Amino acid sequence: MNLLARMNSGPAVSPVSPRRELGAYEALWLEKGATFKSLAQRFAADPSATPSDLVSSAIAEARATEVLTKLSKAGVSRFGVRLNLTGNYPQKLRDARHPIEMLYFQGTWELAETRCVAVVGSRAATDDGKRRAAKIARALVERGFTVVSGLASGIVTSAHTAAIEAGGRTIAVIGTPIGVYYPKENEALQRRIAEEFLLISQVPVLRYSSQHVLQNKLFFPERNVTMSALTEATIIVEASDTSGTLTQARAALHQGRKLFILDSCFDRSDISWPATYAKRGAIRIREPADIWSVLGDGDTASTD
Amino acid sequence: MTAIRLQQIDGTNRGDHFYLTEEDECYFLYEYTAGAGWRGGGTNQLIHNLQKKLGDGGYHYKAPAIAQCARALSEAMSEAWLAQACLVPVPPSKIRTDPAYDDRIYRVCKSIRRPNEPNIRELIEQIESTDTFKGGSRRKPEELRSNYRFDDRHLLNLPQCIGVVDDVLTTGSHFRAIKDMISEAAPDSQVVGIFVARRAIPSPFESVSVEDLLK
Repeated sequence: MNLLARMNSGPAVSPVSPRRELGAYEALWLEKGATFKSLAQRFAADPSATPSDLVSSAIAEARATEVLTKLSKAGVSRFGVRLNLTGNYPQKLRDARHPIEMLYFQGTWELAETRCVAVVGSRAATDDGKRRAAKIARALVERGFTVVSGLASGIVTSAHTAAIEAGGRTIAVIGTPIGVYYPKENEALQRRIAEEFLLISQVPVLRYSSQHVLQNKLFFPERNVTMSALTEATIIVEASDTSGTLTQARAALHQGRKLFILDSCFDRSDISWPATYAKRGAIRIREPADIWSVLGDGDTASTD
Repeated sequence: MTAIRLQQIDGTNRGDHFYLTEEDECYFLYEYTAGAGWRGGGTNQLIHNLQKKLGDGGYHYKAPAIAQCARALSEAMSEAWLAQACLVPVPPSKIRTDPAYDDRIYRVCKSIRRPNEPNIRELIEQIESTDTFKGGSRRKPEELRSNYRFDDRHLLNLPQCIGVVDDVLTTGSHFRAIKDMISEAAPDSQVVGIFVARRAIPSPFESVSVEDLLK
């Protein structure tokens, strides 16, 4: 019996093989002009389709083998995927303008099912900014929230590190494929988050390795959209008018998430975005209580 | 909740299940993460409720958990396949006469595609009650087999397509034992595994010890 006949006559309606799907997803990303938007449009046109419905099985298989070889070479021994239309895929991702069909992860997926708040801000952060990020992260941990950030330098590193030091939970949504470390100095932190917490990447492994570094930079703001979708609120600690952080601010409002902006951002005369976003519905945070009055308490889930 | 599809055990996840081979065809609805001491998450909650024992706090969550699993399987399983196949629940660790007897898997199977009940065969039964797994090494397939026997009544007119059903796929030892027994008794049978959840081993960068794989 050939494979297709067997699939159609087997116990499952449209069974999903993670290997075949990730190969197909990677193949779709290698098509000329593929973007999160173009891919989302294809799946919007056929909501019951999975990546393997759009790619020949031979190509999906070949790409899957390439991905597994590449990840293995990068030292990634185990990872998981979340696929739309299967169990554990977070429905909240469908709130994004261009929802992703698949993501890679390493670590404990259950963290994505806790109450999550993103703490974000500039890579070129001031010392004050880093201190504020750490303080907010500690306060979130104390209240039972999982701190989500993007594992870049600056504000974001402070948020992850402070959450871990406070004995809390953290999730990193990265702008590179799993097994790729950027910036390099965050390699130890990324590995620690993958081992002890949760690391998420929506970045296609093969496309990333086949194109120029400048084009790959586009994956960073895209991951902010996903970070917002995964969380119920985003807190901006510090950002310039041209910061990629504002991608997340726009996404949060579009997705119906809460957007908090630290008071200190409003004090700066060199930027105009805080006032703009406040007009659109962002909440100005003068003290942590302003956050809790909106979000309440986080999880008290035991870790026994 | 929207209908979800069954996922397959393949080259990306088979390594988490020590006793499964490439020849085994297995499907699952959900995943949960091994170790890490973490008990949160929807899948853990579902399994936790499904496995409640009489007298446990929250026992009243068991029936809804059974219904939820059955509903998800009803949506994900092929009607055509079910019409020609039979489902074999993995036997409970306590035998029928044991006060702690828990037929949750049978009840899940029975509620699939209600009222068109599937063909369920309690083909394998346990000879003696055993303690459920608590932290130590799980039983090997051959140990499990030594405590299993066929209920011969159910071997008559056995369909060729057989789905062995269990709540969690860990090492795969129960599936291995039961599939091998059925395959020996009925060599033409096509046995597949159907699980509510599989346990995923995180270990992102290091090889996993055999001890961890056998947990």
